Amino acid sequence: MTRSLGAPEGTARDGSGRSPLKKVLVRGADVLRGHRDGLAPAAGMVVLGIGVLTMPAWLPATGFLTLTDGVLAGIYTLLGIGMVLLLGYTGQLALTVNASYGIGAYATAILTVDDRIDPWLAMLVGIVVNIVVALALAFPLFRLQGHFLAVATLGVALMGYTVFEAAPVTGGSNGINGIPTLSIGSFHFVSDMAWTYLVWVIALAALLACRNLVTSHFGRAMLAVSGSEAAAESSGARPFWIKTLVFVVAAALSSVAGSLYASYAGFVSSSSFDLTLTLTLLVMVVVGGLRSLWALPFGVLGILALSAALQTYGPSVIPATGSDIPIVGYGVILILFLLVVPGGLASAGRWCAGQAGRLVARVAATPATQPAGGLYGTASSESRP
Amino acid sequence: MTPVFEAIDLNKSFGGVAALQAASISVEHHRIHALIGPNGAGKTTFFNCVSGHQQPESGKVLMNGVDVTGAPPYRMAELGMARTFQNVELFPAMNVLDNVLVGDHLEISEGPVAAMLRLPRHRRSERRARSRALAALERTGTAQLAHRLAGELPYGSQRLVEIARALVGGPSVLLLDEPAAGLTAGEADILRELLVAIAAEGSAVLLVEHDMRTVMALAEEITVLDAGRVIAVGPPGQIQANPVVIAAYLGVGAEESGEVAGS
Ligand SMILES: Nc1ncnc2c1ncn2[C@@H]1O[C@H](COP(=O)(O)OP(=O)(O)O)[C@@H](O)[C@H]1O
Ligand SMILES: [Mg+2]
Repeated sequence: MTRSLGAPEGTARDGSGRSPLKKVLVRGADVLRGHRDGLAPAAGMVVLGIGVLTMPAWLPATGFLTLTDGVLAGIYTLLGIGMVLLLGYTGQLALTVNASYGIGAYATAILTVDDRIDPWLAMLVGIVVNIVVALALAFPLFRLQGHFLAVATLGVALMGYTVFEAAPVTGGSNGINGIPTLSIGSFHFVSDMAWTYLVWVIALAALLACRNLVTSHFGRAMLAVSGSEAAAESSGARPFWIKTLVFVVAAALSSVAGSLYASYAGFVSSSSFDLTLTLTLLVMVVVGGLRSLWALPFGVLGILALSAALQTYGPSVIPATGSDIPIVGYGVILILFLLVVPGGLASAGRWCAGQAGRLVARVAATPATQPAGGLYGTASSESRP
Repeated sequence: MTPVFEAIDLNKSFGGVAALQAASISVEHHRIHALIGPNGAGKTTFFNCVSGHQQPESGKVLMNGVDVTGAPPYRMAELGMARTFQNVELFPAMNVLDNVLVGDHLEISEGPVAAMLRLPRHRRSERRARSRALAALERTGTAQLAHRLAGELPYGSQRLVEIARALVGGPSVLLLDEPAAGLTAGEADILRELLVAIAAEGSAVLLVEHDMRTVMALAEEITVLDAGRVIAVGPPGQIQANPVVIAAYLGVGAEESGEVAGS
């Protein structure tokens, strides 16, 4: 989606008869300042792709992260996407992620543990179950607004956890053991490296698809619903359906995350699906930026890194702290970010890009005071407000 | 000719207060119809009852002669009604262009999967919607604000952007609740020209406005509400001369009638 029509204030239009370098600069400035987003997704994908491809090198090099964190980061990213869409874009504080994650995980665990059915098929079953459950929940839940919705969804979250703990098929806190791994043809995903790549291919595909969704009329309707339901509805966007759509997408992605987790870990128990997960994700999403899909992986990795670092170095710095120290840290980070950078890393990044863009635009607008054939080409000065 | 939009004998009360009492109105294509009355007369309630944001206790709402009483707002939008709000309801976290694009929501028919995969036909729909939105901004004189956040705009610009959002989908009935309130003289001129043009293209415009200059200059028909009742209907000349209207409304002070009310 380019924004070449109707150049906004301060946008340098591509003039003809200008040097190619200047054109590139002008375009680059627009992209950096967010006036054109044609390149942003491609750039985001490239940066994230390189980051993921090189994970086997840089994760262990940190000294406190391992490739397991790489796999977990992909899984958390899949879970976080739903939260970004629900909270960030649609403004719905729906906190049922642990339940949908659990449904996916248990679908895979229960259906594949004795090699009953193919794990990929089990993943599909999990998605279908999750979609049905999400649709069934949407009808009562999205009659509620604001705090009422949040409280009701917390009720659902607790119910989900209780079922996972108490239902005869889930093994409760003893869990289910011996879940087979995924395979494609004769290739079995065993090594952490293979798993990292598998999980991230799926996570990046989901990020791209959801980024397409949020820049479409659906994404605008989501933001509209969070801005003014009355105005959204009289524009023809049905708040109920928009919320339900987002809820279903979030549930499906969480389901995939749950299935991947079960196949990767080979073991699931109810303790993976309590509200600590929800809180952890909330922190990751806030740190990345509530309304940014591209920044989500950075929020996820940042928090994973911080919690690993705290567990590794914490006890030597502050004695008598155990494994609970990350949870305490989460609370502090959550409050700090909400107070200081409510837009998260994304807004910080956008600010930096905007500054850089302004700089580039200024360079591009400089008249040719350079010697002939110099850096800035022909004299076609850009009048800027 | 069947009126494009008709409301018959609407009743609505809040607690003990009767906000609407058998209020009726009928508007036709190509017409600007003004709904006036003192503060608290029930004009906004009337809009809410016909746009589906509130339910009338009794009475009928017809679109093209079809009974659509009680239809929710998205249904009224599907039927060709668009509206603005007295207290501007923009989406503050979106830029101006995206705000207007929401008004074109119904014109993009592709489903979520097509949007996720960014199919070529979805991209084409988006491109067409974008140029319609820019054209709507152009008409309201706010095209230069396209990439600004709606929440950061001055009040007058917000009103114009909201009007752009309402007209981008090409509504057959356009309801405007005090559109001139807070506009500069220049902006009000743009608005007046725009409303005349919209009516000329065929839309029916129902206008709630306190600025009598605008009302008298634009409206071919005026309905006067007082305490929820219609006390007069007719062309501007008749309304201005109507003693009941003067007593109930203009009688508040003829000088005041010219000012931009809506305090
Ligand atoms: N949501 C509401 N709750 C209670 N009373 C209301 C509500 N909306 C409007 N009213 C009352 O209904 C009457 C008509 O109000 P309104 O339609 O806003 O008038 P107008 O737009 O003509 O100024 C007023 O007495 C107002 O106090
Ligand atoms: Mg009013």
